[in-house]
Amino acid sequence: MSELLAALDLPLEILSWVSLVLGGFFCLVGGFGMVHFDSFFLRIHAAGVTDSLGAALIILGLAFQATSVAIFIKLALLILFLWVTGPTATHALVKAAYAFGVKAEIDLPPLARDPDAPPVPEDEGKHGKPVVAGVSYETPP
Amino acid sequence: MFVVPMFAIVATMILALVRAWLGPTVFDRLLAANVIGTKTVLLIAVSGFLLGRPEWLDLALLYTLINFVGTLAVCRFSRFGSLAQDDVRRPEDIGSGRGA
Repeated sequence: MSELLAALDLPLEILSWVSLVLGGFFCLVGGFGMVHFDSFFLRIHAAGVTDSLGAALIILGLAFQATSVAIFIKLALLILFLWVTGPTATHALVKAAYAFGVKAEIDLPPLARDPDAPPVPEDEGKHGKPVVAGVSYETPP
Repeated sequence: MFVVPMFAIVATMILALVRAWLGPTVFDRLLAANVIGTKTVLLIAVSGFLLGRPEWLDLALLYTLINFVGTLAVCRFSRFGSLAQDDVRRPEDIGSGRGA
């Protein structure tokens, strides 16, 4: 048994290394996206998506180093809590911002749409109906 | 080798601080607070392993739950203006959401 564990030592170390570095990389990507993007919804997308993967990979890297079952269970609980609470908090934040009327200043490609169809009516931007600025449904000139 | 993810986590926290500094809405700052909370959990867990004290994972678990409740509470406060009432706060009541 101890020989088996000794043989598994190096692969586990490598797996742990790879997980920790990848997790750190994803955390950094999320932080960079949070600073870089122009619109609030793009920022929260970058941060929210990379949060789950980066945190889970770092904790997985720690789990490869766990020395007892109790530590392993705690790390599993940590991943579980982060995966339940993180997206829920992101969702609540987006809902609050959307209800407040934060504008999504994004530049979508124009949809392929019948040019004879009536134009899409513009939203007046009152509470509960945020204006989606910059989204064009018209064909390019 | 735990130092590498620790540097990444601290750098991410600094980037989140930059976003909190830049704003411009209160929701950006809330997002930054949420990200910093999550990264604090990771930092506690990794530094516990780095210093040979994995018992710190208990603190990390506690931080996760408190961070979640805190974010939800501030979301609710920014929407309703109070934690106890259900009157929806309208944007014209509190300006454009800047600097709140």
